[in-house]
Amino acid sequence: MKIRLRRGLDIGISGVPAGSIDGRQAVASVGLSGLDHPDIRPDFLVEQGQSVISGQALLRDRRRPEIVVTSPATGTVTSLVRRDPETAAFLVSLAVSNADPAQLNVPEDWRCSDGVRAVLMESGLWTCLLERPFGRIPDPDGMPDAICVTAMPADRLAPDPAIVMAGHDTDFAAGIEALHKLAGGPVHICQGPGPELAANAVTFSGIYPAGLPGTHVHHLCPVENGHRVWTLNYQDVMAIGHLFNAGQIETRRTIALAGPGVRTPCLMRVPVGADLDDLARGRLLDGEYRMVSGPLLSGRDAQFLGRAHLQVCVLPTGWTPGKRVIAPSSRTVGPIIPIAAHQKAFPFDLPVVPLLRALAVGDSETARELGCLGLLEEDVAVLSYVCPSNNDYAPMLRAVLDELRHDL
Amino acid sequence: MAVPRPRIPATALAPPLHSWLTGPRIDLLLIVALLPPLGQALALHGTRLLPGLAVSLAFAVGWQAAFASARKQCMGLSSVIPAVVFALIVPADAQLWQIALGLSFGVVVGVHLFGGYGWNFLNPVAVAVIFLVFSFPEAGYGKAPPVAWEGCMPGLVLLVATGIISWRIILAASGSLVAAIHLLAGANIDPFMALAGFTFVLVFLACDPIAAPGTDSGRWIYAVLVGALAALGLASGKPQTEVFTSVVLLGGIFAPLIDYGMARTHMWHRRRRIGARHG
Repeated sequence: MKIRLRRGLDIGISGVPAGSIDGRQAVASVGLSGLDHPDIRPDFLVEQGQSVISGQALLRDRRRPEIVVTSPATGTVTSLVRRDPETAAFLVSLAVSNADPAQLNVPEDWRCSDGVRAVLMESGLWTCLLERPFGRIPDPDGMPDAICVTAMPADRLAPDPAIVMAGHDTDFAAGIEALHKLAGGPVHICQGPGPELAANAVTFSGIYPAGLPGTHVHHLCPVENGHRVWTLNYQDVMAIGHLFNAGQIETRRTIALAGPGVRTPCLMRVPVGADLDDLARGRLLDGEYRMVSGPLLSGRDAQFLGRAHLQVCVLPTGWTPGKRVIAPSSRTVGPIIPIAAHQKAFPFDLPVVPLLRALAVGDSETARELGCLGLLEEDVAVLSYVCPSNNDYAPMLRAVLDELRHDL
Repeated sequence: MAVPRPRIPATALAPPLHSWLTGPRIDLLLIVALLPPLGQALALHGTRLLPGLAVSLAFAVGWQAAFASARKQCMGLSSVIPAVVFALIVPADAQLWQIALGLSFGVVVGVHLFGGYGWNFLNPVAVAVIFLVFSFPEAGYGKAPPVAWEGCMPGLVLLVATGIISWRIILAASGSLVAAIHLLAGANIDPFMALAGFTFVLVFLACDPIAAPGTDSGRWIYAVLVGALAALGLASGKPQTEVFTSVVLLGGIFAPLIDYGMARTHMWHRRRRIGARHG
């Protein structure tokens, strides 16, 4: 199946990564942030200063204790913060001694829903699943109506899945097989234009945000009342497949270090949660930079690579690149002026300006009726980008989604 | 019942970037788009235009400054745009005190009472012109010759290309004006002369993002309504400027209703889809 998206936004930016995977960058520390798992209330299972091995459980969710977050590397716990004052999220950081994958005993009879669930919970890979609506980690016994695998770069600075997946077809296929055991419905593989990455893949073509999972879910299995869709990216599928094929928890991901501030933009293989300063060491141009973990528009300024992020965008501070983008300097929030660019940038079939107005005043009932349940923060990033009001719609959407979930 | 505003959490999720098209730059682009028609008018009327322009600018900026200081808001260039558009629409030899009065009514009632530019829902120039037409019927405010269309074209291209105004409104309003004149007036009015006279009002008043609907489907309906009403006015023999500004005002009054209707229609379709899937 092919889906062509006509609306969107072409972000002109330099620093597109080269096509080969560039060696191993030494990463001295990794960190796991609660910003990636806002619904986890952490119960720490380790102490500061303790040695941990790769794949060892670091914390579990207080409300759903089956869900654990595991260590992406072998090393020592350097800090445990329950609630970081700046981000209001937990933060665990480790000094890394090595990042080799850990062994896990996968039972012979894993080929059933319960078997797959148990292995994913134990390995910590369950946390790579994201449930829509609301963007939470799914319940341990939850059953999705469909699963969408995002095998498409989020924007032009993200790695090309075809390069990352080359030579790992069996892992990807095993991962898809495991997902089929989990899902009550179809498993959609969403890819960009080019050779088919898997049988029955759905090809999406178009400009940003054609590569975001929210766009795929909206067109394949829209999240309406009562429907649940899980999403995850192709590298997490490969990690799941590798777990069932080889019995190893692969904690490294192939990410892109890209953007106008990088000397030679490249792909590199680093552990989940790698320290951005470590992985950019010696690779940046002279000057002052801000590093954005994740897609250009929906990523965040951070110290550590986000859990599901496959790219780091390096932007010189106060930078005015080319003609299309400006850095937000001394933002003042103004009125929502409904220019034509709003609707043009948004590939969802819903009235944008009424939705933005509902979000801005916190009218959750109207926002729900207009279809905000199908959206997550990263989907409205493009609207924060184009809207002349300077509003940031991501926290507004989160507040409305939290209120709607509370009312359920 | 008032809907409580949910708490917006403090997060470190500030979006990394914003498009270059910010509010102040939209104002700047609109001013740039107004330069060719302004130059054209200066070439036509010479210095006769200047006192009116100066009074318009002084009163628009003055009212903005007064309200901004009372509300502790910051100032921008946004009041320059209605001042220039207004000075181009009223006759060059109009009484200065009437210009001052009309523009003051337009910007105070049309803009500042709602909280400033962007928070209002009507175009202040349309409010001001219609106020003058009704207050001083013998002064001929509705009979002023329209601004020539040639000067509006660079601005039209600039504003459509930057995504500030919608090509849908331009296309549908022009189309419905020409078609409706054909139907209503037959050979009495040249539809293309009418369209030429409509161009300035269309680009700078009818397409004003504040006055026009915010949904694409709503924009089609609004534009067809504005074009058809303009044809109806012309067919009844009213002068062009009076007809065009009053249809923009009427369209602007309907725009929020049109948007509301479009949002409701979308919700209704959504509910039907959900119903079909569950049933």
